[in-house]
Formats: sequence, structure tokens, C-alpha cells
Amino acid sequence: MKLTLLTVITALLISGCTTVKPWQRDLLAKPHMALDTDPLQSSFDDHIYFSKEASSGGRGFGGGGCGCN
Amino acid sequence: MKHLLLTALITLGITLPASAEIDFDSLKGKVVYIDFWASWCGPCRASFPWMNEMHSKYEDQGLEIIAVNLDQEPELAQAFLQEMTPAFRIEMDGGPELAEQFGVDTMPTSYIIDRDGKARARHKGFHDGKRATYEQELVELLSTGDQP
Amino acid sequence: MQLTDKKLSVGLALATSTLLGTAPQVNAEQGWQADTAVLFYSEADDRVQAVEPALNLSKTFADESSASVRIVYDALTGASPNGAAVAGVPQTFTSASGLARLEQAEEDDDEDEIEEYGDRASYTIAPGDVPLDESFEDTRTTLSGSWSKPFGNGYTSTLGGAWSTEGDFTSYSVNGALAKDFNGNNTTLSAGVNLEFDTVTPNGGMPVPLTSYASHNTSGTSDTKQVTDVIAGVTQVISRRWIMQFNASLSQSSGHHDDPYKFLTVADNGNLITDPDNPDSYLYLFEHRPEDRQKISLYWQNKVAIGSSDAIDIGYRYMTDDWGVDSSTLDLTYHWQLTDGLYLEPHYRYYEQSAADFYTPFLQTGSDVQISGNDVTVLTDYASSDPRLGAFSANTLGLKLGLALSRHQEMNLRVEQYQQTDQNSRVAVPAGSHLDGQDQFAELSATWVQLGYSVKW
Repeated sequence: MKLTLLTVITALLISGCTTVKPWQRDLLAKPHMALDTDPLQSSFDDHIYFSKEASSGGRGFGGGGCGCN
Repeated sequence: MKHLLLTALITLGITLPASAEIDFDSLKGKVVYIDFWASWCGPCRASFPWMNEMHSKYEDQGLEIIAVNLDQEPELAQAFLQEMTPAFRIEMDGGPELAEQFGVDTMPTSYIIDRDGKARARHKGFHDGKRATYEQELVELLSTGDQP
Repeated sequence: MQLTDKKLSVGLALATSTLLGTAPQVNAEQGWQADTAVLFYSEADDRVQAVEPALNLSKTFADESSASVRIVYDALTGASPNGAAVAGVPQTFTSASGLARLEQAEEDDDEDEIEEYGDRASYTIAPGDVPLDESFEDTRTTLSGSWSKPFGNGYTSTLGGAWSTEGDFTSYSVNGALAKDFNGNNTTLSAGVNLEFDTVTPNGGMPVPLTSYASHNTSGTSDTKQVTDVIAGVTQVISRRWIMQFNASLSQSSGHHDDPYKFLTVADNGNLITDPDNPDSYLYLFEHRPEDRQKISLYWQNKVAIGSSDAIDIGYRYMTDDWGVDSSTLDLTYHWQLTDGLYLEPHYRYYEQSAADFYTPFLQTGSDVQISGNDVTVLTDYASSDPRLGAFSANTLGLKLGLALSRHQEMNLRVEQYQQTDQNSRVAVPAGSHLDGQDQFAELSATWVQLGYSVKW
């Protein structure tokens, strides 16, 4: 149920979103808008939570940013 | 590859618009390198020193470099220009409209226009490893036609 | 310096799957970047303390490919729950391997060793206290590397590997990922796979699961585990201000999952009972977990730019596995740019998980274990009292401060506070018994501080 809802929402959002022009990537190009702004921090925290909880990972991948070249 | 690009451009019917800021008619006789850039674009940082080099080498052979800014925050563009100190022409207004007309889909994008006002090449992005190729294209076009 | 009975502190497995798909910054120009940080970690009640320095070095080349290498060193001390239940009577834990080392040391007349093991071979826990494994020390080194290259029409390939070693545990992994950009780089589809191979060689040998702790019967010296992770994701630019990522991953883990240092109390109507084979000790049985574990994770992240320099990051992860654990994680961070070179990032994380099917704070005679005379028969296939597999919720509250030292240098300071809350249903025990009125779950409370520095050239 949760999964279906999530997929539908995502599909709607993706289809409904306007095409963003290459020169409109200015805000997304800023370092604090990266999906993972501090890989060392993420790695420390992932390790801590992995050793104290039963879940792990899930996150990953790039994309976003300035979209240059 | 170049022929394909040329065909595509002609097919796309890119006619050079008479923008209030850039009068392409008056530029006939020169080889124009029009570059769409923004301060936040990494490859743009790499392209500016190269464009400066091209400008100093080939300006008197008829090369006109026009760098059209696409920043949404003008202060950032000013800071970038203060750092890069470009010797070539910078256009600060009307960027997005011009970019739409040119069909810009990558940052940065540059077009090379020959002395007759025909668009001859489009570069998507700026790739360090291709500097020699880019320069070669300019040299070829500069060697044809009349010098101003 | 020898390490004694090692309490498996920070986990039997290395979550190398978190290294999956850590592609470099799309906007990176040619050059180097070095990131260093040190983490200070401390748990309440004299539990685990750790210091962890890390260094990441990466380079972007002229052909837009990039490579990075990371080294992390971990030094741990402190104590960790051994799995026994909190009881109203003192409990003395005498480990066979600790004793063996002590005997050997006495034979060798090694004074240093005798001093070390003198009080580690055997330790006593006061009534009402959480049974914690005595002081231990452990060091861990992790080395990982990754290489990424754009090719073709909008493709990027990434390859990586990692190696980690600590006294009783070694892990190797390799990973690969492929990404493609669409829609003028507004959409990115990615897929990746991670393969991990772990070997655990516990001090004192590999205990036979669900057998007496005091007897410490072993079967061999080491065992292994293989983990395969696959992940697929889509990153979508929704608007000039909003970027979204959705990932789905599947993890299959096969092999040895038991924590070789953890055991469970066997209670008879709430009372601790004497180990039939070791009359000086109560009866505790080593834990046992299934040989297979399959996990599914769904991860959704949103990043929205606020104004021209702020941003809010909202992430949600749902995880479910075939051990009966379901979890939800909500992660919120706000990036507050105070001035050009100074920012603050307040952070909140909410986590909750359900207990594994075989999780129990202690075993009970009659239902889990049958004792007739000197025979101990275990009726259940799997059992663990590891709090990591129990039901709990947790809140983390943190704050990070970032300061730009120059155009190419930044330093940061971050503090986080973590608190777990028990969500297990209480196991009823008769009034007046040893376990009556005692806590059945040790809620963890921890603080960590990170000091970091980055430089580009």
C-alpha cells in the first residue's frame, strides 16, 4: 500500500514537473544542494547507525548539481 | 561528425535573431564565437582562460568572442568576472531569451558562426581535452574569407 | 599487545553497501580535494568510546574521470552488553577463553599478560546493572577506493572496492554502478551492485550456537558471510529549487550472522538457574541467528533551496527484512547560510524499528528450553537478545557549524545526541523472581562530535 502510494506520487511529480532549463540549475549547483554534502559525515553516521540499529544503507548515487557538460 | 552537426543546425533552422543587444548583421565578416555561460558552472571557469587566449591570439584576424551570461543572481556573475578578467565582450542582459532561441540545452554551450553569418558548429559543454580541436575549428574558419 | 575476549563492538559486518554509488560531484573541476575529519564517539554508562580519524583524497582528471581513496582508523574502548538479562542477583561471567589465556600467561610467567587477564577472564555484575562485557580495546582500519568515468552519451560508470580489518573480523567488497542522464541532465537513472565477503575469527574460537556459555564449546576458529546488494535509483530535478531522489535496494546476506560474544540468560519462572555442566555459573546459551537474511529498502530524499543560500533536506527510508524487522527513518536537515563563509545546519532524525522474530530478552524453560536433569534441550531454532534486534525508537538531535577559511578551505564542527526508547512488549515474570522488576532492554544514549577540514587545490 505504502509502496503503491509512493510510486504514484513520484510518477505524478515527475510527469507534472516543468522542464528545467540548463541555466536554471544555478541553485542546484551550489555545494549545499548536493544530495550528499559531506561524504565523510555520511560515512561516520551510517557506520554508527549500522552498528546500533538493524537497518543500513539505502542512500546512494549522484545526479542533480549543475548538470554541466 | 561536423557534417552531421551542420545538417542538424540547418534542419533546426537556426537563423540568427536580431537581438536588441547583439546585432549579428554588423558582425558579418568576422568569425563569431558565442558562448553561453554562468558563474556557477564548473566547465565555464575552465573555458574563460581559454577564451582569453583565443581572443589575444586571433582578435586581429577577425575573431569576435561574445560571452552571454545566464546567471539568475547578477552579483555572482560580477564576482566571477572580477576574478576572470575577460578581455572579450560580455553580454549581461537578455541571456535566457537568446539561449532559448539558440536552443541551448547544456551549460556551457558555444556556437561558432562564420564570416557569412552562418552557424557552423555547436559545442555542448567545455571539455579540457578538446581545446586543440576547438582552436583548430576557429583557425579553419578564420583562414577563409576576407579580413576586416 | 594482545586483545582478550573481544566484545564485538561496532558490528560484525561492514556496511560497504553505503559506498555504493558515491559518484563524485558533477560540477567538479580538474584538481585535487582532501577531506579529513575526526569523530569522537561516546556512549552513556561507560559503554563504548571511540575515536575515529578519517582521510579522503580525490582527484578529477582532464578527461572528467575521477578517482578517490579513503582511509579510516577506529580505536574503540569501553563495554558492550553481553546479552545476559539484568537480574536482581550478582552475576559472574567466567569465560573459558579468558581463563585459558590466563593459564597460559601464568605458565609463561608473563607478568603483563597476567595483569591484563587477571580481571578479564572473569567479571562480576552487580544486581540491577546491565551485564556489560568488561573493558576491551579494539582497532579497526578501513581502506576504500573508487573510480568514476563519464562516457558515451550521458553515461557514467563507477567502480570501487573496500577492505576492512579489525582483530577478529575482515571484510572485502567490490562495487560497480552505471548511471545515465536524460532530459537535459534533469533526470538520472542509476543502478549498482555491491558484493561483500566477511570472515569472523572470534577470540577463543567459534562457539556452538545455543550451547552453554560457561562450557564454551567451539566448532572451528572462523566462519564467513557473503552479502550481495543491488540498488536502482532515479534522481529528478523537479524545479529550479527542488531535487528529488528515489532508490530501491535489495540485500541478500548468507552465512554466519551470530554474534560470537553474545548469549542469553535462561530463566525458570523468572529465576536464573545453575548451569548443569558448570555449577559455578548460571546457565547462559550462545545466541543463534538465521543463516540467511534478505532486506528491502526504499529511500526517498528531497532537497529544496530556500531563498538563495538556504536549503532543507528531507529524507525517508523504509526497510523490511525476513527476520521480521521493519523500520522507518525520517531525516531532516536545514542548511542556514548565516554569512558568505559561515553556516549552521540543525539536524533531526527519527527512527523506529520492530523486533526481529527471534528476538527475546531472555530464554524461558518450558517454552524455549527444556531442562531434565543435566540435559539442556533447546526448543527454539534461533534466539538473540542483542538490543540491535529489539523494538525501539530513537531520536537524534544535532547541529553542525561550517566555516570557510578561504575560497578553497572549509572547516566544520558537528555535535549529535542520540537517545533510544524501548518499544518492546514486556515479558512477564513472577513477582519476587530474579528478573522481576528489572529492565529488559538497555536504551542506548550516545553523543558524537565531528571535527572536519577540507581543502581543494
